[in-house]
Amino acid sequence: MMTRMEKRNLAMGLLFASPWVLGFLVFTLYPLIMSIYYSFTSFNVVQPAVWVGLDNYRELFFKDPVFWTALYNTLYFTLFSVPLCLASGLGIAMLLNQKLPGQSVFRTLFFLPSIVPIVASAVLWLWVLNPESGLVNSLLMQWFGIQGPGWIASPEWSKPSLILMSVWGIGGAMVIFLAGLADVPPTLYEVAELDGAGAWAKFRHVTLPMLTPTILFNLVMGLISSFQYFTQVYVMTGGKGTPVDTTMFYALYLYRNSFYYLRMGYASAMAWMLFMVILAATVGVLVSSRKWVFYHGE
Amino acid sequence: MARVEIKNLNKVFPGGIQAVKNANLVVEDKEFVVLVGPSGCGKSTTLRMIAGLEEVSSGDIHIGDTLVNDVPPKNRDIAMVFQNYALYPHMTVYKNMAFGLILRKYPKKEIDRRVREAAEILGITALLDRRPKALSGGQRQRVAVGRAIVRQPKVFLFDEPLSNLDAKLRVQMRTEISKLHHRLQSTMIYVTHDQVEAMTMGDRIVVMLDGVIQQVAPPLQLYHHPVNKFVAGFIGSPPMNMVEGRLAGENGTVHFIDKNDAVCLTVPPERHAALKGHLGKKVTLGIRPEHLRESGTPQGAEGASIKALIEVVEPMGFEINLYLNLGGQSITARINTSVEPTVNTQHVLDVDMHCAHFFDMETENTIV
Amino acid sequence: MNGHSDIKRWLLWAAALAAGALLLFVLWPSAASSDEERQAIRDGREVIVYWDRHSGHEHAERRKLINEFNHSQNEVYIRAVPIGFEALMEKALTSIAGSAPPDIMSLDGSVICQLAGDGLFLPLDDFVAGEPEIRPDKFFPSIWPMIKFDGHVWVIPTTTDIICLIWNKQEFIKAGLDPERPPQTLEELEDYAAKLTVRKPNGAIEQMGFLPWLPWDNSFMWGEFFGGKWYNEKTGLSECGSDPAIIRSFAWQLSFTQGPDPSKDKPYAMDPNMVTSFSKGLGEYMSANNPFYTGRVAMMTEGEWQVAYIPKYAPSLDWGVAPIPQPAGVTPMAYDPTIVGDIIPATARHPEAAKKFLHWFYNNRPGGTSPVSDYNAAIRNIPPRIDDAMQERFMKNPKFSVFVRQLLDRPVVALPSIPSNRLLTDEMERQRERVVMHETTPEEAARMVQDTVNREIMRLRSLPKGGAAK
Repeated sequence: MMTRMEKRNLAMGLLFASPWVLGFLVFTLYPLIMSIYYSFTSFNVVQPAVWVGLDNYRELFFKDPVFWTALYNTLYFTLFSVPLCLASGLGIAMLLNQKLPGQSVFRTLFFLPSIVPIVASAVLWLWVLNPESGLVNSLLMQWFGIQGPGWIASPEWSKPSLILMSVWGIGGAMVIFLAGLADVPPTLYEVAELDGAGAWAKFRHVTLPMLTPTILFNLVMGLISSFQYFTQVYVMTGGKGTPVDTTMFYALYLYRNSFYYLRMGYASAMAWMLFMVILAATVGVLVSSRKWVFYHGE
Repeated sequence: MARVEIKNLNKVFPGGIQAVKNANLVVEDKEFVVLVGPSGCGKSTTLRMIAGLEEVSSGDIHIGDTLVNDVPPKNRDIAMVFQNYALYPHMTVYKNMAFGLILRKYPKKEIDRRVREAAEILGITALLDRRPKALSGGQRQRVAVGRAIVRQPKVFLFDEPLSNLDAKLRVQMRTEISKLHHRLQSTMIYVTHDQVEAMTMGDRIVVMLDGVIQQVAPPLQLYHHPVNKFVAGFIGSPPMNMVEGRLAGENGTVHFIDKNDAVCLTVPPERHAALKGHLGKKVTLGIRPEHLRESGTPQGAEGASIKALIEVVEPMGFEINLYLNLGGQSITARINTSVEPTVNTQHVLDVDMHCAHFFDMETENTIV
Repeated sequence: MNGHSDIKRWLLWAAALAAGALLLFVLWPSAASSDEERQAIRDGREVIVYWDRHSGHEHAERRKLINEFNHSQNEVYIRAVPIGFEALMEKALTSIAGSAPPDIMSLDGSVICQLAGDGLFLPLDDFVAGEPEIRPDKFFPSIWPMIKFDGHVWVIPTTTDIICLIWNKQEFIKAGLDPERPPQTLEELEDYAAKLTVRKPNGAIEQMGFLPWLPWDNSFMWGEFFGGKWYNEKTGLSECGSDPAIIRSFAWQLSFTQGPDPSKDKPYAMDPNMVTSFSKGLGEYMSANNPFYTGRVAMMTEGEWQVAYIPKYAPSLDWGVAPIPQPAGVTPMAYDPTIVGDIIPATARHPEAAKKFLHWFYNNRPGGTSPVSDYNAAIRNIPPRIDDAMQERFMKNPKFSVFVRQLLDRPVVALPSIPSNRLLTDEMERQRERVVMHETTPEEAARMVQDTVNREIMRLRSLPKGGAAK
């Protein structure tokens, strides 16, 4: 039994937590549960949903080639973008960790891109990567006399362009890496120094193992967000996934199905498939992390 | 093995703080030398300069016959054990110990032999396949020591290696390191802030304060013949009692009178010669707690007793520690008695003035 | 202890106040947005809201007329809100389904077809029956079939468009062509395209003569112009996969990217990657950098609105308009890409007031023209009623009249009015792109369009009908 005091405290606690609790129930939990139901229906928002069993899933797997294209594009993007962002985030964090004059200025500069609104930066990149008059191709021509590729316009280069662009947003990961680096005990470097480790051995045997918890965090967050990659490609291709579906990402195709074609049931099925993929990837990473993540101290 | 010599060593940190001031020290081959002092006294900095982890501002460091000022740490042929163990978390105990040898490209067989031997010595053979996470603090420190042993260095450096352990383990590890020193017969330099560790482990002890070496001496010499008031007060537990006062001499007698004129102690004649120059001057009387005795015991010197108020009684078993108030000054006595004195009573104690120390109040140096 | 409960009481008060403020904000009756509107409310007029799918200058013209309406009578007051065409359907859908719609709203034909079957709009059959000026026979014959759905009238068309070929006379002169003679046949179009294309020394395209999918995908139009049918009205299914004319139209579009070897029979063919690079690098459509205005593309298929845009963005451009050349042996056709019209949401609170506005909008002012005609004249769209379009202000402009004439002189093709027409156009564009990038064959592409569209049609058919009479 609760005492009067405990009851009062509970009531007060619930009262003050209620904005979040209500918001969570109404705007997160309810839609989440409904979307499971809708994924087994044909639903266009206006008409009542009609139960169609596994039809949506069957269509996804067996009849809709674009679904597979979108899944492939998303996996391809994730496979390259996430490691690239991790590596460059870590690399820049290590550079910015050097005790140099103006350290905080550099840190700010490198973090700045990630607070530029995504839409604004996507439009900016559209200009920079313009095959005709963009900065990159103009410089390639001026400096090296090379006719640059069509970047986002070319089927071969569109995904690599987006992968390279994703490095633009590493500021968040970089800051977390910086925090992780600050946490590495300096005596470990000293011990390595005495053991005869050079710069590479110190990185390999001190920095990297000590950062594995940070890497794990950034890896999981990076995986989740890259599976949901949407805004940039929506802005840059006008929501069409051009050229020839090479930038038709999963979330973009999901969006088209739900809001262009009013196929909410189908889109819900897609969302749950994506959830499964992300879940599998995350669980896989977490399980494997027992083998490669090391926590120092107790 | 090797002798370590530091000459006129100075360390000035950026910002102007001088951590070590003109230090001179010779650590003989196979000697166990302990650097001791309160935190910030420069003992760790000195050790780190010997290791090469800190740059020398000026002065020379020799290890063996080599001037090592500009030799990188890994080539100084030293091994160091840190307070926080500094084990590689992703390596097994075996790999942690072998790592330095692997980087130095020793043959696999040799590495294996050395690791197993060291593990045997330290009693950690059963732990070789574990990761540091699965070890207790004491086990971790053993691994850290093992890592130093396998390198078979000329000099072992210990930087407060026992500070993170609990009291019981600390005592145990203390003796183990001492045993290790006898077994390995190598030069060891050991930094601690704990004077008990220093006294029990060191062949010689280096006492440092504010970057300056105060005294270098074997433990008992340090105890009985401190060069100044700081060393006298730092070594020994409970610490030496310090009573401020002056020396008065007349008619061939010498007396110590405290600053409140409440205490007058007669100085035995054999010490008069040494104190001659300080008659009438201000001095500090240093008297160790064990040199205060129950009144009436045989060693009690005539004309040298004090009466003080007992504030705390700490029975230790064989002895009793008394904390007394002598006219506003706190003093400690360690007495050997079967009768437990009562708190808040005045108690008379004899002072063994044969063993008393006198310090110049201005220079704080020992007079006798 | 006392201070503690004081703080608690204070916090509770603050929480209650915040909650109250939030509630007030949510429940506050849709705030009046202007003094005029406040006056209208005081006067007891019905205040209704109009959502305009246009923004910018087109909305400004609409607003002028709505102001005029507001001053012409004292029963209804309209507040006009520019919505823009971004996410138009989502906004329409959520507002109507969520029972918070405007009272009247302008929408694109394609969106109307997607939503009409779901009972989101008020049927306007009775209203149209009582309005002689909105009788179907007043309109160009192609208009009503584009927007009828389920046999009901859901929308009153306000503007329509026609696509023609426009050409840059300056570029014709530079290429040694007669600036006053546009290409007449498909072969001539190809020939001109080759002659008007300028390449850089490295083979990259400097300037392009013509590309069938500029400024946007026109696969629907080309398929129909080639004599094909994307959708069979009778069966209600797409049969384009087996339609040789559709396949030919894909093949013809493909022929533009079968370069770079500018050989024998197809001198206009270009390298697909260079074409993509070129078309992605083109300037903003609604700006002075529009590739047609800058001469980077010499011929384009464009709508009549260019009669208004070009003087605004490229006043010195010398250009011409002609019907689009079509394959020999097929009846020449015209293409109407869309109509825009006004709907009244089924959940609108003031449908009668909205109808009053529609009545006013389509009837001539005493001794003058109708507002709908003025609106089209101002934004340079084609008014959907024949009499309006025939007015001198439209026809005396020789360029504009070429566009209008198409509606009268030729059979007009337009997207089928089916709910899946957005899927159809997207899939046509996807497959056309795959074809011209050599990712698939014209035959396969046509089959894919058919499969995708029919799959959706079948899905919709399998659902129980309903909702229309909500």
